[in-house]
Amino acid sequence: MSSKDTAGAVVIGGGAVGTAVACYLAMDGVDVTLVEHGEFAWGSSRRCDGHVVTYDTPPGAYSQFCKYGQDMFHAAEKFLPVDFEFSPEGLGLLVDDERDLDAVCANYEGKKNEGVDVTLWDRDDLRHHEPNIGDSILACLNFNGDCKLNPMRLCQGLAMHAEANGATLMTRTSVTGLRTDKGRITTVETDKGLIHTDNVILAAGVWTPLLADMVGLSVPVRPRQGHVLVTERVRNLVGKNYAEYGYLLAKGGKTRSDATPEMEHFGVAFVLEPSHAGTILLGSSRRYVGMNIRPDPTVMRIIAQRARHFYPALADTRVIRCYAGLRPCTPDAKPIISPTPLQGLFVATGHEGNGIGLSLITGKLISEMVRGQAPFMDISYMALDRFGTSSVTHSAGTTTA
Amino acid sequence: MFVKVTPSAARQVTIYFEGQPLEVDEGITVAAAVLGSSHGWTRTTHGGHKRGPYCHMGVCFECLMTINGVPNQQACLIPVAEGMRVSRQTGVPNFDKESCNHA
Ligand SMILES: Cc1cc2nc3c(=O)[nH]c(=O)nc-3n(C[C@H](O)[C@H](O)[C@H](O)COP(=O)(O)OP(=O)(O)OC[C@H]3O[C@@H](n4cnc5c(N)ncnc54)[C@H](O)[C@@H]3O)c2cc1C
Ligand code: FES
Repeated sequence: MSSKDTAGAVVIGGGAVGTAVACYLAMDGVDVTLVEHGEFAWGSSRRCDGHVVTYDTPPGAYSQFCKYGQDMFHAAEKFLPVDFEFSPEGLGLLVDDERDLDAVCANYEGKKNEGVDVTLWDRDDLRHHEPNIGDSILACLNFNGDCKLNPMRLCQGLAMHAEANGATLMTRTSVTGLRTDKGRITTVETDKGLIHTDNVILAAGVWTPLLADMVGLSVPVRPRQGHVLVTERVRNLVGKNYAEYGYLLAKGGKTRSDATPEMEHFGVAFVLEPSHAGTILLGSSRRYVGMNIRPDPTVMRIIAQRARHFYPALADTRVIRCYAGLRPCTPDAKPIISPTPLQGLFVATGHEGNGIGLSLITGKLISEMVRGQAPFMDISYMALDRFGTSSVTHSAGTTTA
Repeated sequence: MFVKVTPSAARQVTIYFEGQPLEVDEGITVAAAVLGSSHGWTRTTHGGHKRGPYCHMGVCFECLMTINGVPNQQACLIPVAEGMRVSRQTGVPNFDKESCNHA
């Protein structure tokens, strides 16, 4: 891959967020260099599902943000040079506990008022559409506009489109230090040499705090581990994507009425994505175990059991592999899309379980910030200073890792 | 490429590969049994590419076939049996509750 020693902006991280930021900057005419430690989608973006959804956010400003972010994929599907297996087939939120029905109905009304395409299936409707559904499942709230895609192909497409618009792509390149002068960013140090620049975007997912630390900045992002089981190929077992209502509670760290202690302990909630290739992705789990991405057989077993509760027929399919990934999680589980006290330094991370779905909108917003425009949407609640920790603890001229 | 290391057993069984009867030694695997008749391929990927048995030891999953109506079977691990119906698996198999082993 090519390299250059100056750039209008340097994006650090080649996951969904970093490639999207580089792509939008390049499309907006900025001379951008993308630096990635491995290959594209080397981190969390290849260890996740591919849901692009609105179902998992309560009605409100953030939900509308997710909706806008989702809509952007319909346009990207036309201009990106890679088929990223985008399918707006919808997602159903399954309810298996009567006590949840009121909350589900409130969610339904709220989302409908926001203009989200939602429908409610009762027991019979559900069985008509999903003959393999478990006997105890009561209802399903369908988010008909929710989508899925292949995250690896998305990153590839965004990187290629960035390059076609003039970006320089540096894979197999690690950022080892950041230099500042009089409160502004000047230089990115890499293991392939220096890049002089006025703008740096930290989009390194769960590794962002390490980079921010190079300039004494605190970014409160913690890795929140999750597992995905992959089944062998089967068609017609499930019709589309599903999650259980309890997923929303597990994500928010709340206790669920019918969860076993094990499910609570490992944050297990059912989520399912039939892939383009015929396999079925089964999740999920949530816990804080540092940077550990080794799959745990206990977590795998609980996920499989939970999946069988919703789709008993899954007992007849084999699991062919399992992987674990790390969600970049902030204290309020909302992203950081923000400038910093250091001029020219921006942060784009903390998307937790929505980094794929929110990648494009993050790219668009960061491009606006870098070019000195006001963001097209109010994102003040995603600023780094909301944590009260964004002060630069030391303003060293040069800091090297 | 493949050489038989044991002399032919006395007992033979008949299996049906793509509907055609095959006389094969009892005790060998389905993958071994269809080697000579399959033109090297026993399934296609979801993209339509031809694949055939590769590792013959249950690791690569390249040998998936439909055996007695059940899809996704590893032909290299399953011994032949009298009257067995074996067919190539093309693309992604349909899930069919009736054909599954478990109730
Ligand atoms: C099990 C699981 C399921 C998920 N499901 C979904 C889902 O369905 N939908 C969804 O939207 N999100 C989902 N997510 C969340 C999603 O995976 C993340 O939010 C997203 O991948 C974050 O992307 P990113 O670009 O910020 O980070 P990453 O993809 O981790 O990219 C960061 C990159 O920075 C690079 N890097 C780090 N340090 C350096 C350095 N010093 N120099 C150069 N490069 C560096 C890394 O190599 C890495 O490639 C899921 C996550 C998990 C774990
Ligand atoms: S040939 Fe490899 S699993 Fe059967």
